[in-house]
Amino acid sequence: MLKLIGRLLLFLPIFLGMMLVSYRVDPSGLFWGAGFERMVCDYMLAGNYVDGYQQLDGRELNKIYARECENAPQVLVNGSSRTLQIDSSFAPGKSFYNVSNVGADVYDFFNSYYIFEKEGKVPEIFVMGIDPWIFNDGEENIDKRSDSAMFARFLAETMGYESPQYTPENQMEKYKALLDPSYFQASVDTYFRNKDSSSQPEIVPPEDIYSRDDIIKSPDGSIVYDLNFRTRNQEIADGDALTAANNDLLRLSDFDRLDPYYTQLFEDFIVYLQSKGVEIIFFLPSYHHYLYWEAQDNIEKYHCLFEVEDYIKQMGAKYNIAVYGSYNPDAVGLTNRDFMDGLHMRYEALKKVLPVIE
Amino acid sequence: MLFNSVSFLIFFPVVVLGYFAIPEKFKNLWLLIASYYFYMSWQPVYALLILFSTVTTYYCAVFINKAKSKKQKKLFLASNIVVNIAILCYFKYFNFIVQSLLAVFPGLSIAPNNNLLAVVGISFYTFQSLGYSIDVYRGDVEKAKDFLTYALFVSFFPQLVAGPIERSKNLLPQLYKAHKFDYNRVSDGLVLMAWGFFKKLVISDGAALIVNAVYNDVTKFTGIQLIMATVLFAFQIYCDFSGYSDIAIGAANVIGFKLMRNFNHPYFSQNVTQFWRNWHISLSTWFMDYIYIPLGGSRKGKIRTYINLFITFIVSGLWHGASWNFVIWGAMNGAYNVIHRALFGKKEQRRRQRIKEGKPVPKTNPAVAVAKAVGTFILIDFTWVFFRANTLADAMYVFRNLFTDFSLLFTSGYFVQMMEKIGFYTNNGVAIFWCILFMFAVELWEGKSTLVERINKSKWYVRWAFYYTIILLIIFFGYFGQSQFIYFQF
Repeated sequence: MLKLIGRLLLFLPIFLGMMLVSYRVDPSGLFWGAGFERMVCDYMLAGNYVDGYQQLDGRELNKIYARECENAPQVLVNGSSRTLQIDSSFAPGKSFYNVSNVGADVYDFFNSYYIFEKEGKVPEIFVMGIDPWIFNDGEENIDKRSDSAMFARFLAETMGYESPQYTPENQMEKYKALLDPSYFQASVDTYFRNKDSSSQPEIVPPEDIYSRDDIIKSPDGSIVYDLNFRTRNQEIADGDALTAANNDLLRLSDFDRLDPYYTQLFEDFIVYLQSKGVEIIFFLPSYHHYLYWEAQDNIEKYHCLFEVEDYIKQMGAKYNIAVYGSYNPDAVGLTNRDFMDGLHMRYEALKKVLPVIE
Repeated sequence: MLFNSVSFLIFFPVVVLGYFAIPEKFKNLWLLIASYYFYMSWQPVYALLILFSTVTTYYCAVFINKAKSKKQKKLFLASNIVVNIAILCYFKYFNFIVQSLLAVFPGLSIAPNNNLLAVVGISFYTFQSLGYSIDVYRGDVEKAKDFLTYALFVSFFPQLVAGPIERSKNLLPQLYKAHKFDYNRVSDGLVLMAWGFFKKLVISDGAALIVNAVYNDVTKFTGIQLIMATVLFAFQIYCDFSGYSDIAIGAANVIGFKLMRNFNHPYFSQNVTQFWRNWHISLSTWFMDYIYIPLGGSRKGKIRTYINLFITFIVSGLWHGASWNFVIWGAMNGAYNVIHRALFGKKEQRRRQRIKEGKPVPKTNPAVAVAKAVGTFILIDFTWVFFRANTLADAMYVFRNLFTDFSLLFTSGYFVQMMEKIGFYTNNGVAIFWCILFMFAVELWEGKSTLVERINKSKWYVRWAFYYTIILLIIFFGYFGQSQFIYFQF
């Protein structure tokens, strides 16, 4: 029997090699995060601007960043693509990260904080970019890219809520992948695919970031929209806004009431953050006039848009939290020229509305 | 439980370690429990069917043994055959029979039973049981000494669900012997298992992805695509079934049992008769011993020989599956064998006689041998169309469209484009092709010995190069989706 075991041990190098390749390449990002995003994160942490945003899974990148960054950013900004342009110049002298996600939903709203907290990296200031739809329940408002399992863990582990979907993260589970030949095969494929430079992110020199026709990811997590989008003719931008206004406003149709579960969760979250000494700032990114007027004209259909703003202001008053911005562009002195389309303010407009964070 | 599953990866070492750790008198009981557990991981309730068949056959053999007259013996044998065949017919052929009857007599007030599930391995253990009772009746073998031993003979897990269909003469005596741990035997068994896994996981499962893409929707494909899928199916089924057999024989060897060889390089056969002597040997010889010879074999003149041969192949087709596709598949092979026997029977007989007498046999020119093997492969591959096609209509479509668009093959890029459409490149078709060549190279290297014998004769570095190659090929190109073995359905 010992002789057999001895001979079988001679095969060990094969399996150790297989495990090593799987661990290093890690095609599903079980140990290091997804390959492409991992590379982008490395570049960002080294202070680089990165091209290749279209291929990027922003949620995955944020998870990796939260894990890999050395210290908690002093200022953390969350929200959707409507807040993604907020960069570190809004908080000079402070470490800064914008954790906003394209298409962010209510899960992303809370997860974006949770990914830092579970790494023990609680920010000093948390700027909440609040889209009204995060209080709209219903599956259709959940983005397919958001992580519902992580949200369940946030509810259970951070907020102490009961969550039927909750399953604790099993660290051992992922190690099984190392013994799985399929994972090894995927690692080999990924390794050779990654050798192809066309599928790799590209570092962009700082002087080029505003002249590129690609979206650039900044080292602070914010993005610089592509030249075309930023410099588009105002008629086109307004045309886009008009089209958006003539359709159902994004995630605001079938929004009959502020979901009591989410408002309760939101309030509990504020209390929780304040108990940890986190300073909160609310930021309401404005809508283009055409969309806001559409909502005003169809108050029965879109009344929740206004109710969310009122609710946020009440919360601000109740918990002594600064509220900047408004869904109403007139309330913050914005004109049509401050928008790139119906939903996205120009960088300069953000500068007008959101003050420097001290 | 599938051999190619994580469960088996845990089950097998536990069974083996337990087997060598416990006292001799409990070993068969241990294997019996393990075998029933192995089977019950599919359909626990159908273990009752094996148990029922086991009890019936065991006691019939006891009664046959005790019977004083030939008539009584015959009666007990007949009753056992009826019971076993009735179970087989009900679970495997009931719906086929009903559907066939309804096709001819639509007014009949019978209906298929849609609740009937396929019973894994039913044809295998039924035939093994029948073989045993016939052997006891003929006096070729002593009845099993006790029920437990016989129950293990029927349910022995390595060969329970897909063979080899063991003969009582071979397996029963081994169940009475003590089996100690033997390094050489265990390592031989493991080598054979690894070879079986290579054939199954790399070639068969890889080829299956391409074959299924075509055969599950045949009307989307023509010409070279159908040919490629049909040729690949020949390798898929060979590697699936011979792979299973190798794993089964290897696993039994690890525990200390020697099962019969089930495949002997069938695609090197020089003619269809030889192919059937080398393919699924345990079933072919079963049909020979229990169907062909009792029908009269070749003892009753030429015409009866041909009829007997043809009937045997039709029954073999039906054994494989309850559908007309399998009947036609059996009939085609029957026809091939009858024609071959009519044309070359005497020559073949003379050649075999010379071999038997130890006289030299004229060597075939290698080029001619290759041509004959290729010709035999093509003939057999035609029959696989019926074996693989989902319906008779699909099979007919394949035949009608097999040789279309050939002129386009000379158009630049056409072949690659056609192969892309069947997923040849995305499913590692090129690697599969090289692995098939590697398998044939190994089979040539084996020569007349078995793989294990050949390896044991080799220098240590050749052995280890072989082991490493196999494991690396499995790791790099194996499919680990735990696909079923084709023969489980039979």
